[in-house]
Amino acid sequence: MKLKNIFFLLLFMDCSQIKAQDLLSLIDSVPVPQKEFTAATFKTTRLVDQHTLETVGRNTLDFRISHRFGSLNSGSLNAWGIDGPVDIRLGLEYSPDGRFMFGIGRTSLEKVVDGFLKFRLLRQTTSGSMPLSVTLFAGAYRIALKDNNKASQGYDKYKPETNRWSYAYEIMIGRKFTPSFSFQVAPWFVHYNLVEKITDKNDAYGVACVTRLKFTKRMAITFEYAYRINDYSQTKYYDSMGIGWEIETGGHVFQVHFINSFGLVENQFFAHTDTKWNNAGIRLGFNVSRVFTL
Amino acid sequence: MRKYFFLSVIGFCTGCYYDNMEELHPNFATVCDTTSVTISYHTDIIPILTSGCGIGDNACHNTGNSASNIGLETYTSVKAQVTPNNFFLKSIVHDPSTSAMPKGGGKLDECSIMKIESWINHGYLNN
Repeated sequence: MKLKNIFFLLLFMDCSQIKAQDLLSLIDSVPVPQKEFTAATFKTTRLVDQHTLETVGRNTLDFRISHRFGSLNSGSLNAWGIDGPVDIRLGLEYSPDGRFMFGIGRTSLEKVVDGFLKFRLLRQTTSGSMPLSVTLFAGAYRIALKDNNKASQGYDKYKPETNRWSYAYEIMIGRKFTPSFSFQVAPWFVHYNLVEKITDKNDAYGVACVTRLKFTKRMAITFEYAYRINDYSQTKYYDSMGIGWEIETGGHVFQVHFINSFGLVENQFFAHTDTKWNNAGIRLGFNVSRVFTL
Repeated sequence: MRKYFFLSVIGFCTGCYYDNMEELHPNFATVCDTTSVTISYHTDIIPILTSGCGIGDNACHNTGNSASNIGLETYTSVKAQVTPNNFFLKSIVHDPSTSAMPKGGGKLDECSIMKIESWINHGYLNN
């Protein structure tokens, strides 16, 4: 009798184990809904001058060429700025995971060498569980100019080395509202280690916005504006504003635009734009981006 | 990755300084007094031309330099760039109607520009 009870008990346990295994395999076979992130809020990591909240894809290297001509109001003799002066930035930018990105570049204006870090903190989802994307940005800029007046003035403006450096930070908050319309707002902060006058402030800050409106599958109109909040210098500077046209062709993205800023990096165009739109102090410019998957 | 991002940003911040030229170099303001002092061509302008505008041995703005074709070695040649269109000042303040000078670099320092401006405004004398 005792042996019979043990036999039935073992049989029952065995059966219940089979049932449990069936249930587990059933659970495994049910597809778990994956969180799907909204793709291509903006086409590339830049709009005109400003960064967008986008980072390049996983293991992707982006080679960028940015170019600005002289201003339109330089007249016909100067081919409305085509003859120069020109400003060019060459950049190499990379992301190992599609979320964290870093890059370096060199700009001809003030011979600036820059490096930046970017991180997608939050990403908009297609289900709407996350309605916004948030990207953090930090950049460092080194002026490599020589002080031409070192001998006459008796000191080197760029000594110590820290005098050459400035920094920029942004928090980019944006959303792809429809498949053709995206908008981003970004508080920005720029710090200059050295300024000229005692009345100048080392910190400048403001709010920037960028927007993109797609009108065909491969083309879009872009607009950006950077508003300056604090009064950081007695020198007359203006808000940076750009309007552009974006064309995507496979691995390339071409951006052609008009903008009043001559500078190409954050420490230049956010706070040191010295020409304005209303006397045609704007210039033609273009960005070319070529991505390589490594 | 998030950790590396924030660590790097902290690294960026540690390099921040709050300096200005007037405090770092107290003579910056006095040297730049262009209101109560008459700017002299020989004492003030020639040193700026030598150090910032390329006059001297084999420099850009020697008379006969084919690259620039604009000499700035003599008072007469400098004056020729001031009258009638003041290309001299326009180029150093990077006015878009002229070729920005010094070529390929930033502007001259604020003090040099102020001195040149003052010298021109006071009749660009050979003083």
